[in-house]
Amino acid sequence: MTTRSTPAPERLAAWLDEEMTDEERREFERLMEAHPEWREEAAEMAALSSALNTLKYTSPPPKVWDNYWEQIHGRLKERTTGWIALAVGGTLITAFGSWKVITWATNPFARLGLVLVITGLLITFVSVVRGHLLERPHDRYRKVRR
Amino acid sequence: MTASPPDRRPSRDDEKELLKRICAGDMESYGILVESYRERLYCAALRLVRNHDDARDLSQEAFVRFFQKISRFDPNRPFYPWLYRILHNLCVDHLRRHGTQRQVSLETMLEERHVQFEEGTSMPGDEPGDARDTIHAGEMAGHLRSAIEELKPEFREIVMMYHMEELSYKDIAEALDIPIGTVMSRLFHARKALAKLMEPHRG
Repeated sequence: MTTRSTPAPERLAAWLDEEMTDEERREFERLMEAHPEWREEAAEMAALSSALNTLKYTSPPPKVWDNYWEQIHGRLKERTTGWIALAVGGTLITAFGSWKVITWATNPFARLGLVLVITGLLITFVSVVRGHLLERPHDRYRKVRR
Repeated sequence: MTASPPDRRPSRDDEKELLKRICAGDMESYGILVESYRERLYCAALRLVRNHDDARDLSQEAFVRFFQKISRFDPNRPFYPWLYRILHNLCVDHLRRHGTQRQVSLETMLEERHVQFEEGTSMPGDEPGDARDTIHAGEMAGHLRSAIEELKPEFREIVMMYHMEELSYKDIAEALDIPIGTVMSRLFHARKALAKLMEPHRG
């Protein structure tokens, strides 16, 4: 559970809070026998810790919760509508713009170049979206901490 | 720990079930989760930004972002540290943009739990009732509140997450994206700093 690389006196906190495995606790208690001054420090910290445990957050006034959920729901609705409008509008403008540019370019080489650029952009966009929505949730390494 | 947290947290299994349903788009389950965690999240936001309106707004925003990112969440991991990390990042951005406009002091944010507190304190391995120290927690509470306020922000955060929000070392590490050894070390140094600040008030 705890890291042995942490300096021993600092592990005192984990010992007091019972955040050590049995093995770590035994090892730490052996160390403590050689350092009686830690016992004194532990007593002081235990007292402080108990006092800290008597404190809690003051409950917020009930008016804080007026329309709390409704506003969260409202924000979600607004953003979903906003994204849909943005996506549809973006697609329409892109399609219209692409058509205009292709019809504007009369030279066959310029036309081919434009078609390739637009196709490349579309493939990249679709690939990013697909990766984000479909592949990432199943990425077996996504929980690995780097 | 001596008392239960302020809100009605669902059990781990209920929480998993709720998260599964939220992933499937169930707004009723989302509402239940929001209601279960809103007070906890609001208090955490208030601790960070010290302003009621901002705390309310940022905690709501954290719930919105959580819903938008739910597909990236692994339901087998604890939920609150993840939600807290979203909130923490929002609060840090907010403070970077608007600076600290403190309207709420830590002293007004904290109160004593209404629980029977035993005289003296015990340590791991002690027999019950083995009084080790003469510091009486009841008398200390007022001084403690001011002492916590004087801690470095990273120490204050860890103390409050462990003692008031009742998160484990693992959950704190996950929420703040730091190693468990750092949680341990910060908690140790935070308590040492607190002990020093409390020295003039010891009997």
